[in-house]
Amino acid sequence: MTEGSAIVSLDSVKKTYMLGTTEVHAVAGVSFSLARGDFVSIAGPSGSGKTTILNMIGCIDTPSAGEVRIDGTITSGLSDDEITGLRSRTLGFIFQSFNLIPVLSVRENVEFPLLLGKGKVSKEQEEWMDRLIEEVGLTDRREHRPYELSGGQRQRVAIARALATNPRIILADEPTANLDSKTGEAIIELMRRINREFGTTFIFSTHDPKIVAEADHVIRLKDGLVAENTLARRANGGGEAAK
Amino acid sequence: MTRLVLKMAARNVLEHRRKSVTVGVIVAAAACLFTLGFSVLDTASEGIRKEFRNRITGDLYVTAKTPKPLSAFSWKDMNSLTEPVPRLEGHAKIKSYVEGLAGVESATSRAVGVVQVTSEGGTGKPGAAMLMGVDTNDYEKAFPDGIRVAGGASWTKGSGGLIVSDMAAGTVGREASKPGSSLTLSSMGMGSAIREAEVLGVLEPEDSNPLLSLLSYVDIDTLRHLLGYYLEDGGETGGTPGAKVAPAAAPNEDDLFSVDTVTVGDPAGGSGGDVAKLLSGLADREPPKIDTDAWQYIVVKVKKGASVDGVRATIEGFIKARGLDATVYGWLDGAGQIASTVLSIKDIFNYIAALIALVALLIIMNALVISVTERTAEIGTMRAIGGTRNFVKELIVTETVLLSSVAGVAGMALGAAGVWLTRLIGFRTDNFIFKILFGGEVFRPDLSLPGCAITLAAVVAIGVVASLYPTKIALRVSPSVAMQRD
Repeated sequence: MTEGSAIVSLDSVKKTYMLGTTEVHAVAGVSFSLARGDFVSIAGPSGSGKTTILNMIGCIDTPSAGEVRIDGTITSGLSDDEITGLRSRTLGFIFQSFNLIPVLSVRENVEFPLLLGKGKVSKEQEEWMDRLIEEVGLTDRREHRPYELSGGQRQRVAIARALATNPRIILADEPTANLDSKTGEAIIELMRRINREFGTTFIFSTHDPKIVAEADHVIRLKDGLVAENTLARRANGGGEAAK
Repeated sequence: MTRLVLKMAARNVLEHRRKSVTVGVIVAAAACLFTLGFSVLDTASEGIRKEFRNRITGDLYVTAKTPKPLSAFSWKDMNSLTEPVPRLEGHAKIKSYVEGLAGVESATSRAVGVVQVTSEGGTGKPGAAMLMGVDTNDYEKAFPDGIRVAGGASWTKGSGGLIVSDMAAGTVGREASKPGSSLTLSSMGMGSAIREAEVLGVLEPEDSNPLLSLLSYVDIDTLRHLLGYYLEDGGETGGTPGAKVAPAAAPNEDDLFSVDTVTVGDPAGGSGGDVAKLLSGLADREPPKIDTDAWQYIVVKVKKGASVDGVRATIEGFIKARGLDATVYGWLDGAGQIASTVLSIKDIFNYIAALIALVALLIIMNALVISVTERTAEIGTMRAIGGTRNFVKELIVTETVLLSSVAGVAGMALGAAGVWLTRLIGFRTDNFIFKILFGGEVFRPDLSLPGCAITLAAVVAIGVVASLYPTKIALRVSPSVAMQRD
């Protein structure tokens, strides 16, 4: 994969926190590239730096050193408004705790990122929303509030919301961690289907081997460093090392 | 965006009940208190303003420029009451100018003096009265509600005579001061003149306005005699028909007992010397001539809708331009201690209201900070999925202003209901102070619309200010908070 074809690339990225007077290297120098349309798993044990890397890719955290490039844009040095714009145009988020807005219905939650941009939605966007809600199987629950939904249903709303602006990349931080295994598998299956259907790049963190096995591209982290970077071939269980 | 913000703000207000109830109750209670307080105090102060304006002070009054301030009756310093109030020099010019001003409803002149009142024949105790000398031709036209006669009558046009205060009548004796009888008026602290005046009527008691209870009214010529306002060069004699001069041609004690006129008789057995001659000679004397332009005050009422300050400035400009030794006061200067007390109470209430607003603001701010802290994940999520800082700011401010406005209007409605109920029932009091403040025994407040406007503005301002710090906290929330585990 060439640098130009990568939708996400990290180059010698480091993230250091101060814990009192002690420096903590959450990410100690990570480089990798991800291709468009990939279904990417960032795996590793707790504290390995998965969430920190997802935050930096999602432009909600900045590296202490190195460079993060999103769809050709280097994120360092962008203003708050430019970063917000980049996030709303290019990125969609799925959170472990679903993070739906409690006062909005299913439909309103999905509509929310669209309204943030323009204040109103077009006819095409309305049809797109309806399709997304249908895709995640919540047409009959569209007017329900989050507290009226199960965990799986909430995560499906979060997936539809993440797709509402038709982003190129969707970041999912341990999307199945708060779900039972059956629901978790259903969610991964849904994400996979959308990935194939819409060509959206999915990058998700997990430590569940079953979910890792679903990925095209697996990046394993250990102590803030890339321990394994594999382009997986799920069909025969084999794989090859990625650059 | 605005519709989204309004929708979310309204739902947040309904969803976060603990915060909404805490904030709502505080704002509603403050708004209710403000509405009641402003209505009661505005009614009291407006009542007092109207009472004074319509009955005695007018909107403005012009007097001579003096080192000590003058009220509308006398000196502001009650210890100086017996000191004569100086004449207003240039009265005719000023009055003529004032009467010609477009914004002036009426301008009337008067003078005051403190006199001793005794009954004819010396029965009853002598009493003191603050005697207001007025032009009986036009005074009641300018102040139709100024003189409230309980027994007897007021002047017929241009006639003279005395309308005695209830207080003075009580001291001198009811029988002696009944209409038709005569009372002897002796000047105090302004020479030693004595006049006799026919009582035309007795004023109503003035329980709710102690200053007015001091006032008795007389035709200006009688007072001019008592004040010694005579023409030095023997001009035309003025005079009001019916104003008795008694004893005839014996205007004052100085005339009677001066060394030039009193001759002591022969102590060895002479008759009384020249006293009888002196007294008989008095009958032949020319009565002194009254100065008909001698006044102390011009009292001005301004037309409804005209600017009192504007008229005042115009009159002051005229006085300055002509180099006249005069000054202009407002009604409040003339009203004395009572009106000042009400306005001081109003100031105290304003301070208390400001303090309540500050306390409410701190409590609301605290509740909002807790609410924002509880919602960091939600705010972080909004930021992560494309919400700008402005969006978050708008949301928090709209939420607070919406809540404080709704609660404020509810509180105001409650306060208005309280005002209405008090008005319906009437707040009765026997307390002397309250009677003065409320202008009588029964107080019926009016809803103060300016008070409501101030209250509404205050609750909205409280909402906006209270939301500033929580908004600052909310804006510090990083989108990465959304990624944190519960």
